[in-house]
Amino acid sequence: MNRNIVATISIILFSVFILSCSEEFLNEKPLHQIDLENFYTQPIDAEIGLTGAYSRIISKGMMQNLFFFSISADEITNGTATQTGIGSGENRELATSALWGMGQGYNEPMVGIANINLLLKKITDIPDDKFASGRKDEIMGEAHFLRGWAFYIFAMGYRDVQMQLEVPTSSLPEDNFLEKSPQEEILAQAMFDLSKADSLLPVRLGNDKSEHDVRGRASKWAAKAFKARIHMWNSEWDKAYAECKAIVESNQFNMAERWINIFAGENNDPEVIWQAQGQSREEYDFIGVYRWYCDANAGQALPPYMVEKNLTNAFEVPYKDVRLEYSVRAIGRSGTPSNYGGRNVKHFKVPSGEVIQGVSDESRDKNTPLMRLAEVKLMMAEAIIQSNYSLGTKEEVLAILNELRARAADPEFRPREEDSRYDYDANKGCEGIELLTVDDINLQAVKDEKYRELAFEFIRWFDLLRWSRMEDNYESVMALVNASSVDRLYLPIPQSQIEANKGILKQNPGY
Amino acid sequence: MINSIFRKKLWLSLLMLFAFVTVSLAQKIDITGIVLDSETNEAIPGVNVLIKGELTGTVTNVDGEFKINAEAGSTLIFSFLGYLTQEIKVENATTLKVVLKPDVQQIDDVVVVGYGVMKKSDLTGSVSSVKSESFKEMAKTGLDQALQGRAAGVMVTNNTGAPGSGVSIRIRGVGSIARSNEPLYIIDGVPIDNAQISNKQTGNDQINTLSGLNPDDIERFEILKDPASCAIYGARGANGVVLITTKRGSKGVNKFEFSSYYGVSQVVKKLDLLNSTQYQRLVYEGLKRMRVPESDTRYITDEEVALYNTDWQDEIFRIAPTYNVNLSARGGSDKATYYISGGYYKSDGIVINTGIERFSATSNVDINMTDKLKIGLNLTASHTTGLRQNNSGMQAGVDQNKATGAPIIASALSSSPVYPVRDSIGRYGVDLRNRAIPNPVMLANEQALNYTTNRILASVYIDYEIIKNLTFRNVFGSDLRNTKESFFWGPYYYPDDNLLMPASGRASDNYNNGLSWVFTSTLNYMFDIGKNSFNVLLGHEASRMQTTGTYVEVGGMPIDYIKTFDSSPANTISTNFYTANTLESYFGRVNYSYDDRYLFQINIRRDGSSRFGPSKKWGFFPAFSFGWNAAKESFMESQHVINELKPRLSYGITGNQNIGDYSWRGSFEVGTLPSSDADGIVMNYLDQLGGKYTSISDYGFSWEECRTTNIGFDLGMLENRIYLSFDAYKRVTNNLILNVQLPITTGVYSATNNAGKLTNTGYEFAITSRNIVGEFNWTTDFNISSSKLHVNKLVTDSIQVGNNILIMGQDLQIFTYIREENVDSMRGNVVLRDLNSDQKVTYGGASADRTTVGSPLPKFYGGMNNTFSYKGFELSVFLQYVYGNMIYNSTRQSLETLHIPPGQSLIVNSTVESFENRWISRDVTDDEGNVIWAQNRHTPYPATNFAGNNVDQREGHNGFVEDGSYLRLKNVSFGYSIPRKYLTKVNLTSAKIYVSATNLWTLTNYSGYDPEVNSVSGSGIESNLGIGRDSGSYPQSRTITMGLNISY
Repeated sequence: MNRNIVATISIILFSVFILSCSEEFLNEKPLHQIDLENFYTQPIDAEIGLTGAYSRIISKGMMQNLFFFSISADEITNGTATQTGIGSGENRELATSALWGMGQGYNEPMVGIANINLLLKKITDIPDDKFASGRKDEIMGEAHFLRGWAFYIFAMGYRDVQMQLEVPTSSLPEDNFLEKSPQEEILAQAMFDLSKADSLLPVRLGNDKSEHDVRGRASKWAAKAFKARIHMWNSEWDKAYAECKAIVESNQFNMAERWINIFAGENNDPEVIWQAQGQSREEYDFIGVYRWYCDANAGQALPPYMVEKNLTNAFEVPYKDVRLEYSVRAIGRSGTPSNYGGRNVKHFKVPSGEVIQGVSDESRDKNTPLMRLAEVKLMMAEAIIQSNYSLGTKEEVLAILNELRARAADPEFRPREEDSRYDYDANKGCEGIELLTVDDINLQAVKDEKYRELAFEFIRWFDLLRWSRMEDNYESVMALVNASSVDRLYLPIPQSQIEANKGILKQNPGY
Repeated sequence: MINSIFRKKLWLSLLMLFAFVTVSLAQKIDITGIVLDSETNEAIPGVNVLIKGELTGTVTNVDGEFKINAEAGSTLIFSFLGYLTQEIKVENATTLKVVLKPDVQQIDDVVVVGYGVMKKSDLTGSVSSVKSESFKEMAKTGLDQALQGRAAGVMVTNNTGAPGSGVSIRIRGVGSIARSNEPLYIIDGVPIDNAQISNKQTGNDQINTLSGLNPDDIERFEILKDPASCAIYGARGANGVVLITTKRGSKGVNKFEFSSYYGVSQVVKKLDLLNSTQYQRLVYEGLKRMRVPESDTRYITDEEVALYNTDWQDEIFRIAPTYNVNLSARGGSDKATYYISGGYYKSDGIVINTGIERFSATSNVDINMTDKLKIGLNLTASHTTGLRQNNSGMQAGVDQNKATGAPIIASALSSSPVYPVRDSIGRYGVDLRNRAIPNPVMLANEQALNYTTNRILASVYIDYEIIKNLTFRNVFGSDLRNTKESFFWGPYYYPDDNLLMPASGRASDNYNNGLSWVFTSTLNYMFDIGKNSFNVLLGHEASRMQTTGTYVEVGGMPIDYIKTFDSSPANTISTNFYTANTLESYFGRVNYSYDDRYLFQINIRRDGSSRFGPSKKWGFFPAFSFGWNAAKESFMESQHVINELKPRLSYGITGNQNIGDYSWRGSFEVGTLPSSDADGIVMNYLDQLGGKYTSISDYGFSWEECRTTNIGFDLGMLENRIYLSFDAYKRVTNNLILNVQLPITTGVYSATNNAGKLTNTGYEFAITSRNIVGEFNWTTDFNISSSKLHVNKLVTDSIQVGNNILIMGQDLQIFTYIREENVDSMRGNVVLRDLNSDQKVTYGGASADRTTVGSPLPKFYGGMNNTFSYKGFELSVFLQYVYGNMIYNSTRQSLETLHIPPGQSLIVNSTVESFENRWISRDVTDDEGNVIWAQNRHTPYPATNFAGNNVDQREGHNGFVEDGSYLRLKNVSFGYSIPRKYLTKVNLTSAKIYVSATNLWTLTNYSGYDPEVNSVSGSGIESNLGIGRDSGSYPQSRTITMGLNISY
């Protein structure tokens, strides 16, 4: 064979083989970790992602935000101790710090939102037929609900805030800087997400779902309830009323017979539309409002957070209104109204002497209701009045208020053992309060009843803000937090995030 | 995947096996002769005698005589290592006397470069060669240690003195902040994994896996430093490349070599610490200041002082033997050449219960299948076992006298001298006053940290010469490494009665296995067109590197002699990992020279790595260089001083892909988060497992990229009696990979990305001078290097690691408080300066009262070797030096505060220097009124005070920053080669005996054990920036060896 031919052939062969490695060769995949490139291919992936999002939206940080709003409102106030980064009044300014406190309240829900963005983007790649019937829609509905709810809380807490809807594709900081969106846009997005959830979620989750799932997960009804809240904010009374009415007429929820059952009864009372499930969350006793309210500084003579007198003064005492007797722990010697003030909260705490299945007195398993039928009905009542009775009658409002007032009596109420004022063995009971008449019905009556019924349940501050906004008179609410301006009614964005979004993200005005 | 590559390559290779054998027949005559050395006139045995144009040849015998059968009129080629090759045409003479001249022309050395060899005269880049002769008589564990001080621009630091421990090599300084700065190692064309494995239980001390390779098998190192040389390794070339060539056989007589040495090592220096009398006084004064009544049992009695005076350094250090034996055979015929060797090395550490032992075997075989086809196999197997001691940091034990992995040196330095190693019935002594510091001897004996590494390096190659000077080469190489490290500490003791504390032992096994392979194909063509010479290389390479590991730790071991996991009640930590990366590359190089005067080289490499995202998977790494052989110009012909002058210039881009595998890929985690995550919260809800993403997929994540400009020259004078090289460079690293904070709206707190830029400038200079040539020979090699780091861009204004800080726009600096020169004369306390004048000293990491006090990086460093020889005697003196770096002596900080150390409630021993010169308020007299301790109020050393109420005293300050410069007699060896005439009687061709001393003498102002220290090692940001810290490190040892090299 001619040498040159050999050479030529060799060179050609060499050239051919030089292209030999396939693209797959450089596509080395990790085996030790779940690879985002390959995740979200199975329904279980979506379930895991969804659960992860729950754990970030209903998180320690978010609970802390909510708790913070209770401090801001005329419900509780700082007592002997202040949690890092948490405070009202002058202390509200502490929230600028990048300390653990407020940073987590901002960060954890944002992580949840980012993960929902990813889930909603990726779930579309998983074929529908891989899912059990309807589950794909449910997962998407739940995800939308969580995102909508988180945006709603952010809009209420921070006014203008960052709104991330995209999945990041670059890990360079400058590619990810995000400025704030106006409050209206965030609420509009929240409304969009909640409406999506409303349309995607079924009347009731499948039969395989436990009561924990039914109350602890997003539902069509919870979506409607929070839509109603946003409508109320926007003074869209008819829309708010319609959402609430749909919930009431769905027959999915019933008013609890005994008020305490909502918090300590079967742990999933039919009155509850949506609640943070404490079960199986090991860290819950550190994140749950129970700890925040009751003994954040265990071992101290006085609890760290005190019930405001304004709240106790709104109740009839002593032993008249079970909503007070179960919620506020009075340590004084006599049952005079003044002694109810300056005491700590026992709301969400299982009363002594009550035996509740699987829930111990100071259990971490306690659930925290975030929306219940009573609030829905109170929204209806207010919407009727605010619409100048175009949506309903005074009698309807009266019926709603009296249903709640009637429940204030509880003959089975027993004081706590350690409460030395009481003779524990004598069954004191709660006498109850007088029912209202049609003449008593006005907007203030609804506000007062809501104050009493939903104390410590994270609505008061938002209501105060809303009413002030409607009247364009912020004085009383500003006084509550010693705010120097309206801007100070909203939280500052954590400094660490201002720095992380160099120059793009501006601190909220007033800080 | 692998299969498909193999199939394609294999059949191609097989094709090459079709050989073309040419046979020629002609009239032949016998030729005999003798080969002599031109200078000594002695016969040279082992000279290759080859008939030009044929494969046949012979070799001279021990008397330098040869006999060959050749055609009349053919040309004989005489070649021998170290001599100039000579060609002699055979006319009619049948007896020849051939005189070979020693080769002094370093310039004509062949230099190994990436994927080939080049004549040194053709080089346009910066390459340092280190040959085995220069280090073979030096005691060393690993091959990387052989490079110390030998090559300009290469800084080798033994992180500790423990045998087989980690070694940091920096070629031209630091080019990366957060990523590895270790060079790429290539052994005979196969990249090897130089993993440094650290123990999960004991922290920083690392196993150097390179210590598993036998340095005796190495022929030479080539260190590629500049872009022109490194760019052929593209994405792995940024930190420089160390090419290692192992020994091979050559045609000729079979030669056996036996080399062996035996040596002893001991610690170079002991720290001067208090004896028991002094310690008694220390405790007395300390407790007095605390107002402890004298009845307190913490005071030490005179009886105890009389009874015990333990020098713990003496107890844990020892004189340790080192033994090395290596046997090799090499030789070959026309058809095949071979090199095989077996080695055994054992070196005990100077700390009891430490040491390393290695068995290794190597076989390199080259076979000429035909005159065109050559195949070969390189195989090295080694088995290394090591015994180590945990020795990370200065934290002595915790709250009981137990062997819980407490660092041994720290324990020995801080232990009280007033208790025995063992009590009267043989139990370990316990310092009842200070139970937190374990008995150092107990630590050394009762905790076992041992490892085993088995390693096989194997490669095969096929060379096929398609047409003359057009060669195709295939290399397949693999590196298989299995490392297992076990740690055990026995259950510890109740200090008062030495009873076993039940179920308190712990044990772990750490398996770390590497498997990597590479498949390289190159086509090389050399041709001339008139005065134009070309050398063209084209190549393709695919490689994969995989590491797997398993770690299991159990606790609660009840008994100290049962070390199996089964003896543990359930208390288990177990993890494993699997990680791999692939690299595919196309590369090419063109060397073009015109008339041997103008040299051009273009390198290109395109690398694709699995470590980067789809849009950045491929990187392109070009380099260009130019050299001018000025001495060959006609205008230089008239002078005879300069025989070689070559200015060189190169510019190129290299990459650093030493980042984690899968870095670009986003990851998703389920369940519990690692605590490192900023919101380490369980991700479950409603009894279901939840997860979230913990990093973002970033398709644009890219290589660290170095753009280097190198300018230099080589100058040879007086027939290369003096040869010097100079290089200056500027290396700009772009896309520096750093951890950056991300807005939380991304869903993650931080990410790794390309966020910085730094510049590294430096120069290096090397000179070789043959000062005296003749019967008496004197040769000097000297090199000096400097490199400077400058940070141009960072994500933050500065990065602080330990005591060091890297500030934008500056070099790496030690960052600490400044103290007043003397202590407060009234109170005896150290006083820190309030640098920011806010009327107080603020403590903590980035305090404005801290400042920079010098760099842990040296201003320059290098080495000098002088070799003298006369007849058979040879003396080699090797000095190595580092100048201008500062060391933060954390060991002293722990010992010298005469104080209860930070965060601890225990008393530690102290240095005599600080004790003798401590602040004393007024004269202390004995009963007779004699002054025992004179008043001493103007001193830098504080008063003994256990009250611990002066924070200034506990914080580190510039008083502990010391000059780390040193000049070291790294090695002296003196040898004698027995003349051949005596050897022939016993059939030996050479025999040499020598005495060698390593670390014999060090000139330094540094007060610690040794200025060559680096307590932080590894490849991350901590080790790159945390250098120059001495925290109870295992000291370097001085070793004296006697050796014998015999060949026959």
